[in-house]
Amino acid sequence: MHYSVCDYISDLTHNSIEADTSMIVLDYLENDKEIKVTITDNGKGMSDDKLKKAIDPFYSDQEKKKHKRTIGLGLPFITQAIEQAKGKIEISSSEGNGTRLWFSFNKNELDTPPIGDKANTYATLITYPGDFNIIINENINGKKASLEKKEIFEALGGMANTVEAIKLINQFVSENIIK
Amino acid sequence: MGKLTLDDLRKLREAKKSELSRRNNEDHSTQVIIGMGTCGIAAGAKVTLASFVKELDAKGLTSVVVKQTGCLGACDVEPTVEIIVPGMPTVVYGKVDGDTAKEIIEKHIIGKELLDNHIQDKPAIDIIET
Repeated sequence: MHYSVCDYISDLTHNSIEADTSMIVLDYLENDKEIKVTITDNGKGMSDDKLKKAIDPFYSDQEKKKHKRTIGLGLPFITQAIEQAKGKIEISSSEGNGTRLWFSFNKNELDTPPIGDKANTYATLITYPGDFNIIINENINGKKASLEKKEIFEALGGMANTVEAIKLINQFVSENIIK
Repeated sequence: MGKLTLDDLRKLREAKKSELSRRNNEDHSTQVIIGMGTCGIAAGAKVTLASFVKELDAKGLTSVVVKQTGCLGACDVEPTVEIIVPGMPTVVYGKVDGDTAKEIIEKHIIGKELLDNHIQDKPAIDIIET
């Protein structure tokens, strides 16, 4: 299993990226009682049959993967964590119409994983290669913040692929999310 | 000092236009590719990535390209990093934490010397492309 909520966010968002998505919306909600994460994409989606298989660790959607993997652990990991921490999870998807996944943890539950490093996680998602846009919306105890990859890359222009740009993106994300 | 805004990023881009133009002509063939699959994330690859960016920046190695990718196929030795340096064999290193990232930059990228104790042989059989 992963260590933190942020690790699950990274892993599950990568599923969206690998599903030929052009737009991902990541909503992070936190208050005194719960942490709720929703990931919505407009990728290729899954049939009912594939959705049922998706939580099987020995199933992997190999169609466009670079390597012919026979295991896929992202969804089994979050499902297991949710079960152990008495959280909730829901996945809805249809072929050609994208996928929406949300999961929530009760903050007062002992087995709820730590949140992790949100700034590093968001920056890593924004700089992940691929022709997709991602909008990250935070709502923490009513305070809101939003980041969009497209806006950041347009502002950085030709710098966007450099080490310096990655450093600036890390700083921008860190300073513009809710502490 | 206020927080960085999108306008600040635009101004920085403008200020660095001539330097960018020079950089576009530099050799970008040295690459650091970090595996960020489920296994990599679980093993701490995000920290590895942050360490490479910090150290490359500190050493002024601005022409090195840092990329993320999915699973590289050596899940038992994550975090894994593929290093491509012209004139040297392409190498996948395993168990690359923050300190090992610094070592790779100093010895492999700058010193052109392989880190023998971190080299991985080949990916798992089930993911070798047929």
